[in-house]
Amino acid sequence: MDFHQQGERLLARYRDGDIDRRGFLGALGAACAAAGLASPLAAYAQQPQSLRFDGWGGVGQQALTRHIFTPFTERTGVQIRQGSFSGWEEFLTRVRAGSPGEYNICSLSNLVSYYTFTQGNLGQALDISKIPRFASYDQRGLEAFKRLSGGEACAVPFQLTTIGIAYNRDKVDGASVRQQGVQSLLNDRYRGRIVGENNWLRRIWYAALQSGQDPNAIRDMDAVWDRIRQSRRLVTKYWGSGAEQMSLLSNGTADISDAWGLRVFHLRKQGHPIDIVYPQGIYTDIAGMFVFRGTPLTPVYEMFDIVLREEVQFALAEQEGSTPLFDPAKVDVPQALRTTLPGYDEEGRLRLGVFPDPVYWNGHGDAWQRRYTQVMARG
Amino acid sequence: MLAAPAVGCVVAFILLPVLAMALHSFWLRDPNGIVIQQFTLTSWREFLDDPFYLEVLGRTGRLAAITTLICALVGYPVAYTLILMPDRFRALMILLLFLPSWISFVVRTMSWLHVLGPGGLVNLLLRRMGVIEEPLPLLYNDFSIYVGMVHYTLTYMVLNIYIGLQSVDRNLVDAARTLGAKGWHAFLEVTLPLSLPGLMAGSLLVFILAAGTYITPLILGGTGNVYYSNLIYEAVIPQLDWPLGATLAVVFIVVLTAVIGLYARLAGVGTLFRKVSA
Amino acid sequence: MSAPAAVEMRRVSRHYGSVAAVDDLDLTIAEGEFVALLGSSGCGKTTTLRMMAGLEQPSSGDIVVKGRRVNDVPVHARNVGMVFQNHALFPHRTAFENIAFGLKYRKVPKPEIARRVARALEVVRLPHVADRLPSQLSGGQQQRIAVARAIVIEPDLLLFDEPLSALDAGLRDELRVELKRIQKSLGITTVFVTHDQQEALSMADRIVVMHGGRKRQEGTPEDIYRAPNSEFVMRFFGRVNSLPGTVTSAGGGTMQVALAEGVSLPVPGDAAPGTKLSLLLRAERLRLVPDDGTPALRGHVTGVDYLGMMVRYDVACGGETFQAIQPAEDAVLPIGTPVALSLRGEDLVLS
Ligand SMILES: Nc1ncnc2c1ncn2[C@@H]1O[C@H](COP(=O)(O)OP(=O)(O)OP(=O)(O)O)[C@@H](O)[C@H]1O
Ligand SMILES: [Mg+2]
Repeated sequence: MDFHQQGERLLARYRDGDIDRRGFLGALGAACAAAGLASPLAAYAQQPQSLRFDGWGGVGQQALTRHIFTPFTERTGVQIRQGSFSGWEEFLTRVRAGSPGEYNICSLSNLVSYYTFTQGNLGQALDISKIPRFASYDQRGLEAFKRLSGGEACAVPFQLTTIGIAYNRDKVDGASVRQQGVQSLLNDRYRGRIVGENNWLRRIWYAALQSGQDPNAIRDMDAVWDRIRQSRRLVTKYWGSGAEQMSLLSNGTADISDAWGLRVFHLRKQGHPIDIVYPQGIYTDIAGMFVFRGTPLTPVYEMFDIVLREEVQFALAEQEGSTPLFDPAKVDVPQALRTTLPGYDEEGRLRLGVFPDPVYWNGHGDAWQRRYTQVMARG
Repeated sequence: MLAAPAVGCVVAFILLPVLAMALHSFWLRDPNGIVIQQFTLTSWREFLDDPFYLEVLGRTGRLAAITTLICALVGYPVAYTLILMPDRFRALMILLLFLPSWISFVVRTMSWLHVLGPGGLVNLLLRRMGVIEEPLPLLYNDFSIYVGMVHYTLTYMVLNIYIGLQSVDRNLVDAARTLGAKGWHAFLEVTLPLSLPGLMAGSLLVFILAAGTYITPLILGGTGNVYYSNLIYEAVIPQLDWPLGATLAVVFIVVLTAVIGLYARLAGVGTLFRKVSA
Repeated sequence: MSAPAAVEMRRVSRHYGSVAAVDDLDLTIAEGEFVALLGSSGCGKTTTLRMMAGLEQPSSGDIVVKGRRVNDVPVHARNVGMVFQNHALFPHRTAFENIAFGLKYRKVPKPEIARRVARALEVVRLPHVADRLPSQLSGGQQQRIAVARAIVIEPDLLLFDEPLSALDAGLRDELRVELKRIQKSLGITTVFVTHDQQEALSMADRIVVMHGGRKRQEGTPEDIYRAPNSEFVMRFFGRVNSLPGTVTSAGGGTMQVALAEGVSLPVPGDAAPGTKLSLLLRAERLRLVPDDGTPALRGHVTGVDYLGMMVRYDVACGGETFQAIQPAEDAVLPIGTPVALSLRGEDLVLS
């Protein structure tokens, strides 16, 4: 497709109200850039005043500002407007209510949300060849994304999200937790000292493991609900956020919990006696950055060039506990990081747990969420 | 004519949103959570077919009723003390009563974690004094929910009772006493009945506020402490099911309106007000 | 041996912080007597009344009822009936229930209550309103029910705190007569607080004039009106002129005072000749007469206030303006009329 055709189609979409002015200019600029043209219009569109980024807020986002956005703005002159959300479902509602082109880039923390976003046709296909640094990353994440969106990926996966079972080593015998794995969360000995995440997908996941099933292909849902009921009788509090998880484990309310590796990293850094183990089959997810439809791509590629720098990912790993998804054959992860980061095993190897199959989980989402709410409410 | 702006406000800020909500409850939701404006009874059928929703509604009513009762029992003496205070102290006390509401509701609720938790203030003190060995389970149960609810609603109750008490002419109590009633009797025969409109208004307000909170159970509640507003939240945010959320909300509004109507009739708030103000 | 007084206040004071609402008050009220406490706003009338009722504690001094000190007797045991300025009827109770309230606490049997309430309603001439709520009664009716409620318990002492001040003029006069009749027929010892001198004069057996928490004078209405012991008390009962004069001779309790050139009057009192005095004269004791040329105070009318039965004149005389109140039987004098002023020595009071 040559540039004129592309430009005319964009113009038609713009006239139909299918794309707003900024999106139009951005897309046109992208098209100009692709066609190797340097018109004044292209220059304007290529250098949008600003891009919008939405993330989880807090210190994590501050770290992104420090290591990525500030250098990016210095280099390109493009400002980053920032927003934050507390859950991707809530964010999705906002994106849908907004106008096209209003959102540009967001933190992406799992495959299911990637699948939902792309199913909703919200993504902007990326040309990964424009991001040469991605070559030193594990390509399995990208393959997964491509499969889900049926073609090009609309996001760059560069980190791993890990979940394990965290416990207070002063109160709980670590050997026993390692040996029992996910069954520890149903151990009557810890009754009243157990907490866990209040999330339908994760709870069903653990219950599937506890009943000896493959979480991505559950045959016996009754067994799953049964394990959830069992857990419900033992658990003091199902937490709703990572911050809540941290305070429950650190203030003496709980001795054991399913836990986000990232949060445990911080607890340990603060000196709390919390250890974490990663049992067989435990949930793992891929994190990255998602690009919304109508976003001008040139500055996005520039940003990813910064995001994917080894020193940036090492810094984030060291300070924030994120686990970069490097290809170990191409990148030499410092020894210090290997031993402290969640998601690495004792030998310092990257541990890839089991990823959720978004098609499977999305397909059951409605029914299972509703059932989960009921089971949690009344047992 | 004069009522026009008021009517306009009611229509714009109350009636229209409720109608919009009612309309939403009949739309279709696609598997991705997108609402399609196509008439369907799916959400209503879901609501009516499953006794779960009404069960939680009943549970919520009970929570709100008990909260109201506790607030009334705790709030009345507080308001009465305020009335008896010298003016200077009273102004200070009312200021103190209001002070916490300048802090975000979520933060105020979370502060109870540090009071009731196993390492919290109460347990710490009791352990220091040697009353207990192991921390008491004060958090993540009905107890902590009621603490949070009462904490949230008590100010409204106290202020309403206070206003009710303020409208009671002190001379009436003096008259009753000169006629032979002891202080306690004068209170029961004069002050209490005449301050009932304030108590009633406060109770209604507290009931509605308590029935509608979802933050308190979320933060202070334990396993299974799920109430009606939590269901609405679950439907709309994580489940992305706006039509079901709208259905639940419409039912909630209808039920609350019915409760208010019934209450006004039973308690005779209207007639009581008329008597006193005349 | 005389019977002990119905109520006695012995050197009673009541302080609110640094304010002395009532200051060292001595008061004796005889059985069956109707005493009016008269004074301007804030002079301590209500406080005095409330202390008699037991609603307020004296800071010092004793309150004695029939020879017994009652400082420590609580309100509900004192058997006083009190009528408040704003009637203070219980809004949630009918007229009947309001009146029956005190009887209930006196353990009066039900049929007896009904009988006594009915009789009290008759006394206040409202036999047909028993079932009405206070809000369904007129202002005058409400105040009568309040009176019925206070008298039905057959109190030892009946206390009124400005019961008529919230009513309009016509109703006030009517109820004044009514209250007096009721009090006389029942013979209850009564203390009536008011700031209206007409009310005090017409109703009371005895008036106690208060000012600044202190008693200024007490006596029968006539005593107080005729022989005020101070300019303050005198001014309380109407308009007063103040005339300058000089003593020319004195002796035997009477002195000759010169008011102006050739005008000299005998005035009760003793002062050295040459003393400059200020003499007080009620406006209604100053007469305007045609100027016949004889020595007199002279002036001309500068203001006329026609009151129907009476006319009040302002008269400029020398550098002063005097007030004169006269029956309006003759034609009203127009402004500017030259007049002579006539006055009698025995009406003059030394200030
Ligand atoms: N509870 C109180 N606290 C402080 N000061 C008071 C109190 N009650 C009365 N006073 C003061 O005591 C003084 C006498 O008050 P009191 O009510 O007895 O006056 P009163 O003669 O009844 O006046 P009025 O004609 O206006 O009713 C006033 O200066 C008043 O301000
Ligand atoms: Mg008074």
